[in-house]
Amino acid sequence: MQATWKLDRPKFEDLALVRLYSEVMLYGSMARGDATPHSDIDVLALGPVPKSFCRDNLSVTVYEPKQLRRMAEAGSLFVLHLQLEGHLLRDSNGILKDILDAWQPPDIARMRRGIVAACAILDSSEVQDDSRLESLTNVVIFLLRTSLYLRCFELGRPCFGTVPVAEVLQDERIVTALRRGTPTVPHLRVLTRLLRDHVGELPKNPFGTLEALAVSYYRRFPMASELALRVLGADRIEYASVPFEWCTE
Amino acid sequence: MKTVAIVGDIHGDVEKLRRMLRLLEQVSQHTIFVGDYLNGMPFAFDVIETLSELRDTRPNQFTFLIGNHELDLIEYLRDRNFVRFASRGGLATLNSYLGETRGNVFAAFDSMLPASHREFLFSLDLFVETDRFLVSHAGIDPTRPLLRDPQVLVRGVGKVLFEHAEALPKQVICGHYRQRDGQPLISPKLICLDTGCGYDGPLTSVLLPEGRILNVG
Repeated sequence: MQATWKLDRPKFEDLALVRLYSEVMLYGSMARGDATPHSDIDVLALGPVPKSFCRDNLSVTVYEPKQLRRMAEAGSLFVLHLQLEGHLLRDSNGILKDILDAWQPPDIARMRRGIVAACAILDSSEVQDDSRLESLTNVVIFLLRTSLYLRCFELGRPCFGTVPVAEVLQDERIVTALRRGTPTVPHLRVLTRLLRDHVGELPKNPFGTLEALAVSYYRRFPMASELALRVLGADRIEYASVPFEWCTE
Repeated sequence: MKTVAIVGDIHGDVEKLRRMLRLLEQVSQHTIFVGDYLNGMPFAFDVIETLSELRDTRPNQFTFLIGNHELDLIEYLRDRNFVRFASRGGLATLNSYLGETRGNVFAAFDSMLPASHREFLFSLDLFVETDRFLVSHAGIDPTRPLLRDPQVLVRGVGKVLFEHAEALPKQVICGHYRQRDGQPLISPKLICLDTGCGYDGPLTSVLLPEGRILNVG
């Protein structure tokens, strides 16, 4: 049995970060109560300038309120996760709660179209070096997680930890495949096979190259476009233009 | 004294640009654009088409400055570094020109970029300076007020400009530094007109010498 870390609210409230922002929320495995000693401490804050940064195993993402609200209204599963499993650490004016309450259910069919479109990234993504392997693995994990969460939501049992997701979907492979570790080609193959099993046959890239896919899908499938750019090696994406929509048509 | 209009960052929002031009038609004798015409919304083609037509048909009435996003595009045309340009917002611009494309993106873009747009990009000015004011995309360095370094004029010096604004030798008007409340920053020595156009914000202009603000939301 894995050791779990219990949420220690006073400890988090001592963090300098919590005092810097007026709206702060803990989310992820630490909030859910199934964190391991290797888990990140995921913290969301609201602020005027969106950014993200890490300190040791503390991972902080700052959203502009209107950005998070747009995500909520567009049915972001991330926002649903915050709503169901997050722990408010600071929100004295109720702004963050108000945004989370604005969450609307996603259009499942459109979102699935966006996920399938993004899977075309795997068609022309050869593992050329370690950095490409890492970015590709991260993108496959992101696609896999999103498709699994969407399926659980569709079944009326939304959940976001690998163990409950594996239970709902009755697929034990999910827990081991999504365990953190150094990216390897065999692990990438396992993840890709799992993605295929849950999404269906992965599409060919209709544009021939990843660059062309990123450009061509910019309006129709913004998330696919963004993910292609990440695989190509973009380490800095302009925050103002980061999309959160899977499909716009 | 003739009225000069200075227009903030546009970032691909051609609709707001068209509405601003209609407003300025009545009130401005000369119009200066501070740059950042592209990226943001995926309508850079229409924005550059509109501006290059103004430049060609009424050259004495308009001045077009270069912003960091135009500089990024010029660098892309030279070094073909797709990832750098795309990750700085260039995907919107490439999509605006190419729509759906196949294979080599640079080759497609290079062949699709009209000669008039290329000429427009390579003819942009760095700054405009008179006895009373200076206009550039990203201002100047207040701690080195005589320096007219292209990198500073186009990419800026960050918060130093705002922390030492009182040391500016004359009125400086710029864009570049997005005012997230959608309102232009107006202080005795510094006016910043980037109010987030192309990213949900309005397009803003200032009329000199009276200082009146025009806003297209």
